[in-house]
Amino acid sequence: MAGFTHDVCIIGSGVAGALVAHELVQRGRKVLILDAGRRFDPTLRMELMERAVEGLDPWAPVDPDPEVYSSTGTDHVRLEGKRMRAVGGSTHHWGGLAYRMHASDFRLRSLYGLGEDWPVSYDELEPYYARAEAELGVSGQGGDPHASWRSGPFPNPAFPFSYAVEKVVRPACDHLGISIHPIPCARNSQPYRDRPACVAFGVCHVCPIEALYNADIHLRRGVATGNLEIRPEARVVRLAARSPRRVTSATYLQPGGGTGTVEAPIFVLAAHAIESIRLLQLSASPRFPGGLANSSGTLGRYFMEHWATGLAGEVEEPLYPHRIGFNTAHSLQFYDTPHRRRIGAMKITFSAGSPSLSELARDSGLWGVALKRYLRRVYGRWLAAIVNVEQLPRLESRVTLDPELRDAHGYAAPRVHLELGDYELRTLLRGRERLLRILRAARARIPGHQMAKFKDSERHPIAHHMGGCRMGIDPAGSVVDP
Amino acid sequence: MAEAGRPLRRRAFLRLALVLGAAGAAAVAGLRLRRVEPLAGVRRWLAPRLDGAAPTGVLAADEMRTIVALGRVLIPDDETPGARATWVERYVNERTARHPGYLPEYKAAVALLDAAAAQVAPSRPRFHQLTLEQGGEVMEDLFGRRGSASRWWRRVERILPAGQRKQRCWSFVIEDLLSGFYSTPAGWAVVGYDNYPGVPGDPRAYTRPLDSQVRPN
Repeated sequence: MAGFTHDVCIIGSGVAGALVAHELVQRGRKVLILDAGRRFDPTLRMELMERAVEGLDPWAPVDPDPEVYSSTGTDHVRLEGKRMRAVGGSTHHWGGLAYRMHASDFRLRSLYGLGEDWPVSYDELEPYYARAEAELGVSGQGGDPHASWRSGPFPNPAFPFSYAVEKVVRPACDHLGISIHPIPCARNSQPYRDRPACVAFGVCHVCPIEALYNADIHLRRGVATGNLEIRPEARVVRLAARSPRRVTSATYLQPGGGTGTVEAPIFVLAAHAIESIRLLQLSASPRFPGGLANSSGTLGRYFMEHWATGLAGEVEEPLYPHRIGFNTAHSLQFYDTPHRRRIGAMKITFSAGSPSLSELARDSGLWGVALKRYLRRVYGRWLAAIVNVEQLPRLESRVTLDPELRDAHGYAAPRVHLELGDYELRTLLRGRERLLRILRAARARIPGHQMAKFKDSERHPIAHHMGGCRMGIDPAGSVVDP
Repeated sequence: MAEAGRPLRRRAFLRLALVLGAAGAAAVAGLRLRRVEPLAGVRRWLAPRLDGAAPTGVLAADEMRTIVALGRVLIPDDETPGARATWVERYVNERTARHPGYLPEYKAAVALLDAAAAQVAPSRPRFHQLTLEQGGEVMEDLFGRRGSASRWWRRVERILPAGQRKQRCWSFVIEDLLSGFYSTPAGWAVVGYDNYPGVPGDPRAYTRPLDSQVRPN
């Protein structure tokens, strides 16, 4: 466009920013990406994987900066190791689970009187889900009666169930009438486009051959067109806007010191759920005192996580877990039920890899040769079931700027405040009851400390950060429009 | 009056007990309904925490010798290799240099182990000077009640001031070394996994039993 070096400036190079950039440059647009993180040579992935198998944090050399944030509310949220500041973003260490939202998720208010309806429907988004799955190379199997409809098959066939699933999980679930299905994942079950098939390095959080998708794959393709420029280590700290609907420039910190400014006709903000909110808040001015896109006062509100709890039991025969690095089976049977007004959506997955060898060693209270003997005796005889549950969007669950805490550059750090209520806790409890039934049907012996979880509302946030920039058709109650 | 007052006091007591009992039951029911667990909160409060503001760095060579010796006791050679000094040094240096809070914990562990070593073998007052067997004795003295008893004992120990140093040594040093080692190929070899992790193999092997499982001792 006239007067600008770039047609579009994208802030953030994770999966969202990378795919938007890729689509634009394919159409001949000139795109600039600013990312706070470093760019690294993808040929180093093997070296990073070797760090992982030595028990070291594989990504420490790529993202050495400590997380600075505060957490309040009913539950503490840990961000350390949960997101990555690097070109390509958190897809470098993600698990590759590539789920679509359920059609009911878009109509929670209409169907169940919960939350809010989206201004778009699953039917409208379905073609885009299909295109995104094609880009990522998702492996999966259609025909899950508890998932939403699909216009076509998955790009890659599903990974077969693990030995543990076939040996104990499937018979137990068949007995209980619970249907299980392969997990859709952005991991190649066969060579796909220019990426190889998974060959079971077993270290998925740093896949050395990129059989597991990461956003740098699309960034490299974009750069190869000559239309995409990436500026790593460019931490955007302020957006300027001349009108409420149009950002005109971005100011960023340069790696050698000082600041730079980019002007562009269009900006795309894709800097992670928390950082996007924070940047809009940091961009407050006399004209926009609550931050950009916040005339409604909604910015940062309705922030959400997914919550998980699990149960493990010992089975008679060894299940030979791990060896592939990811779980292969799930059940969505209890996701959208007639009881959803009281019991939220839940997804159940199965893992013979939990507790892992290191967890068993750590929790055994043993050491020395006695520990080695113990591990040889018990390892691989554990079956775990995990339930993930939804969190309702709540006004009080929000991301704000911490009034005191500052990051390494002197800017206000994010404060994450999350409130869980009876809805989520009830769902977690119901989920654990289902896990107990499944493990008992699998004839797993559940030790006392596992059963103790039923007296405790143990739960873990699993770093699926969502919300905070609500989409709506009413500007008085939303941050972005459809 | 005393004779006349006794039944009255008893009745009042019973009435009070009834009211308190009902109130207590209602409170418990309310807590259960709200899924509030006061004891869980106490446990979380008592759990040792790393000092996130502590400086990072690496151990002195002399201190590292003690930690390497600890690694040898924790993960000795048997039919599979144990923890090698090169692995311990690299792992611990990275841990203390990159993760705030670990350096003081490792230093405190060195002090704890050396003090205990001096009691076991006064002529060899440093842990790394002990034989493997003596090192095991020190571990037994410090942590010997963990193995079997010990979920209950661990809970009690946490709240005793004298147990705090041992608790921190166990939580932040011993568990750290164990979980680190048993993430490595050498650790996985203990259970017969010679092709995991980090080695490409048959991508469908995970659908079958392991061909050669190490037999339990």
